[in-house]
Amino acid sequence: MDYPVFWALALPLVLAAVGVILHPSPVYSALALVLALFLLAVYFLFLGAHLVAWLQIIVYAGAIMVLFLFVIMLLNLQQEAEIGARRLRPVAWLGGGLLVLEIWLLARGIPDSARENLPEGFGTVAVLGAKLFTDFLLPFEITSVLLLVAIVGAVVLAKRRL
Amino acid sequence: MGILYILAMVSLGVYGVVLGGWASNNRWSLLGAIRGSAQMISYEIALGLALVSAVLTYGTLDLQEMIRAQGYHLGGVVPAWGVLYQPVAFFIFMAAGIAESKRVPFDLPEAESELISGYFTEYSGAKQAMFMLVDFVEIVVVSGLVTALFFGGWQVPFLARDGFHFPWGGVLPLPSPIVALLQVGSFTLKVFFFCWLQILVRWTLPRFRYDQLMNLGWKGLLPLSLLNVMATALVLLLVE
Repeated sequence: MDYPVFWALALPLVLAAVGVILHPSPVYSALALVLALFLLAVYFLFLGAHLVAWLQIIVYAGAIMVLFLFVIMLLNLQQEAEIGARRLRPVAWLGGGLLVLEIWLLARGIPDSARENLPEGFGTVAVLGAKLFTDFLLPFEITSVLLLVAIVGAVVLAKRRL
Repeated sequence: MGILYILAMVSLGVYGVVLGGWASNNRWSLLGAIRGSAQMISYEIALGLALVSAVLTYGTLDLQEMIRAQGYHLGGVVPAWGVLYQPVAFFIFMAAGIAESKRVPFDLPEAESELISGYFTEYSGAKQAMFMLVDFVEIVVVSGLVTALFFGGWQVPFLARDGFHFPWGGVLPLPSPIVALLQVGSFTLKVFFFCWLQILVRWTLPRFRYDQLMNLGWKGLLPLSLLNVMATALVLLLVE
């Protein structure tokens, strides 16, 4: 991936992510997160993970963030007047700084050649689908049972109040 | 990757409805927005599953590949268009596509006689123009997809790269620009036909009630599309 493209996308991504935290209105925060997810999907595309990129948009940005928006609207969250907890701010800066340092140290350890030896068709739908239905069949099926349990649970919980 | 892109963009349409209704600060717009988003999310699933059965039939996600695969003729006579392989998927896709664009009979979110314009009542000028444009752009998009997936896209029956090859052995050689022009004309005609079909449906049918709409989406189209996917997979397995 070319460095100019990387940096051209990285700046809006970081700004969007920062906007999620710092923007006073919750709806704007959710939309900033959608933008961040879009840009992340572009990074996935550049890294060759095609299916993950599209699933990120279809599932995460397209369904889960809509759910976030519904919850924000349901709870009628208003704009925050001010970010509270002034006393904890130095702790927050320290924690954030340590996290960035840790990520930088870990990222330095990954060699550039890690991306060279990818097998043919890595990240495409065909290969991913084949793996899901052969090597990872059991986790796949258990995940679908998990989703079924969640749906049934939601229906049961909501039905009691009707 | 074309199909995944289409599914992604369809999923993103919900944002426009939800945010338009919420931003209007108007409880009837919000009502239209809630109805609209629930309808769009419900019919997205049937749409996606109809697309899945089309992908299963052709074995590729690329729209151009799918159209090229519809170029040959069954028994030398009948063009192998997608609708012959996947008639159920065609109907589901058509119905879900009309539901996604919130056109009559699925136009409860808009409901002109009740909510004026539903989720975009408060908008005027260019923003309203955008909302209304989306309606008609989506008609063209759905028509284009139906043409590409189920009706052979730019394929003209018996037309190959170098001219017509009729089943009775006659050959009509044509220069490449003419062939290209014929194919473009074929695609345009088919898209026009499906746009006309959707407009015909609009001025014929009355509006669905909300529970009828939801029942159709979840209890009708979803099981039908799932059965279609399973039947397609079964047939593909038996054929190989």
